[in-house]
Amino acid sequence: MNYYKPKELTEAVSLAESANGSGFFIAGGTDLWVNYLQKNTEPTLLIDLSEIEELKEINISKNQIEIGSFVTLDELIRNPLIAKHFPLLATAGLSIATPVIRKTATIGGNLLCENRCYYYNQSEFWKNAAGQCLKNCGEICLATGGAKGCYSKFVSDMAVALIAVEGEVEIVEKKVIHKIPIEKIYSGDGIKSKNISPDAILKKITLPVEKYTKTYYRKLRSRKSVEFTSLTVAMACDTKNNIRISIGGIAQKPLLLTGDSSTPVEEFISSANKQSKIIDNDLFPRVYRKEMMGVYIREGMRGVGVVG
Amino acid sequence: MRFKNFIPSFTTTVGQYRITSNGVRESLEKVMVQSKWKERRGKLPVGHGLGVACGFFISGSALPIIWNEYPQTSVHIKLDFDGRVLVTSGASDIGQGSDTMIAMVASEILGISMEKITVVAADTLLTPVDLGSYSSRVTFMVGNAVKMAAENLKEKILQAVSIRKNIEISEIHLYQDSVTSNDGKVNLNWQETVDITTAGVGAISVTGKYISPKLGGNFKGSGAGLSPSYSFGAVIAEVKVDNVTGQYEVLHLWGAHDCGKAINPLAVEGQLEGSWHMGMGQAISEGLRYYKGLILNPNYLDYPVPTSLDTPEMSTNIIESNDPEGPFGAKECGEGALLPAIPAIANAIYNATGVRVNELPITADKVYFGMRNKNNKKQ
Repeated sequence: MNYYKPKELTEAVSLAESANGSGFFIAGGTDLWVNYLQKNTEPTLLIDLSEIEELKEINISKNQIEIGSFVTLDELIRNPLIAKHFPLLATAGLSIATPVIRKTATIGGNLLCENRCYYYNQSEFWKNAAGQCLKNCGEICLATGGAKGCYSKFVSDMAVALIAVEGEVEIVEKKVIHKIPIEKIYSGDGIKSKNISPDAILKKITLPVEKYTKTYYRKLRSRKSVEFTSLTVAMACDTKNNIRISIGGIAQKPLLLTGDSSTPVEEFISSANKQSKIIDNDLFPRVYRKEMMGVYIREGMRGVGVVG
Repeated sequence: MRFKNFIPSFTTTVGQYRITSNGVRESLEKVMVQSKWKERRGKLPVGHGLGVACGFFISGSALPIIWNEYPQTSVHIKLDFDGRVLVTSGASDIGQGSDTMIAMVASEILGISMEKITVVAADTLLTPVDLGSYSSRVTFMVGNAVKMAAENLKEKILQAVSIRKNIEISEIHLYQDSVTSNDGKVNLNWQETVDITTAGVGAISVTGKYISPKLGGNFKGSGAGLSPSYSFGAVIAEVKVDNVTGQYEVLHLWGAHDCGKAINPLAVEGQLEGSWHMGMGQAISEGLRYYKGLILNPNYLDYPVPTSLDTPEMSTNIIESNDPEGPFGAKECGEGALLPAIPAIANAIYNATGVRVNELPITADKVYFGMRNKNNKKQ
């Protein structure tokens, strides 16, 4: 396995292309390293992005804010611009991992962290004993006992928060820069959970400033720190009363529900129920997470000023 | 109700348990006063609840797990020419502070400072056999054995001084690194004392042991739970439950534990708070899950031990009852304190919501569905 630490973005892209899909970018590595030790990923090439300065900036212009993908979660939480314009992101950031991990983990890394499941995130020893699941080239899904598909859980809390406030990402893919809404990165396939190619670099995240003034965020977990999500609901309401609800931890990708203040809350809840794919692969049982999804949506609607 | 059922000190229970000192009444009174139980219970805001529980525990099992006639522990002490006192014991210090306890007990009996004492513990090549750090037995049993060994050494020292100085043993004392006589004529520092003691014989080695007295009734099964003495304690917990989601937070734990005599109060406090925290973890979130016999959550991410953020304020009270069986009156303060923490939290949740959860851990989903079932029945 080779390890590189390029100083320029273009160099990182060419290195990744040379690996033909088995290269991995390290954007903090808190997720990648664990998966590597558990033999879930076996990279031949590691490209550490920590010395590319242009990925570490937070800039604000008249109507948008740009967050470099290598900004650590800790820097994000402490940034005065974020605190002023996007308290939602600071709240979401604080709910992720621990203070120590947040000093290493980055916003880009969090957006692209791998889906999780009780039966996938285990040691090699455990998986050899239990049998490999679908996500690990096995033949059945151990969580459901069936072979229909992989239900690994989408766990990026940062993505959920960013989607609610209409976040977009700038991606360098095959030397072309393109900009897409964050929710479009995720495929909904539990096994290959991202739509972008492995050699694409997520350069920065852009958000409209002063658009979503009222927001809501709540994460379900059994303790106040060190916990991946069991359910995350983020909600944002703009000045024209358009509402965006983003939900994580309940399917292979984040859900996005849109409407406005006249949309009945029941409509949001039933739409969330239809689209979610909750299975029992979490600390909390399936039925409870489903119930809480409704409870949080209702609470969020009140939180952003819409009585539901 | 609890107060009416409490048994006094120095009694025998129906199951033929011999109870020596018993500080359960003082423990419960202490936490009730501290938490303002009488004033606050039933008058808290919606969603808040107070719960109480008491517990008692063995200070080491009176019967060894594998039957044998050896002592439950033995301890060797060696005094060398240079004044070093070496204590060897098989007791494993797993963080509870037993090495310090051993040094403190030896230091107290010999009247010498702890710097002169070296403890070598849990090295099977060098140390005598101890049954292990389990069953909350180490301070009680090893402490008693150290006390006995140190008393044997003290006797040898005083004998040697008595002969050399031609003075009755009852007239001399080992105190503050010296041997002095009541009339003040003998005043030897530690090194002089050691010189006299080891002259002509070399290093002095002594042994101490602990064997539990014969206890228990004359019926089948009477051997279970027998201990030379029992610790007692009480915990009151306050919780705040979100009535919509069933999620709750432990706001405060008031705990009191009768540990006999606190030989090392700082370590006792640490043990008690650690035990209550561990009990709380078992009550609120910790639980093993299985998949075909394999543990599904074999790591600290998926097996949620409460973090410092989840840990409430704790009010810690050490109740001293000076047990006649323990070394200087000491009993256990490890596992026993854990017990009442769990039912106290369960009772507090019941007090707050009317929901009785009969399965650990009491996770939010169990409280949520419990509340819902209760509401459905009402309608």
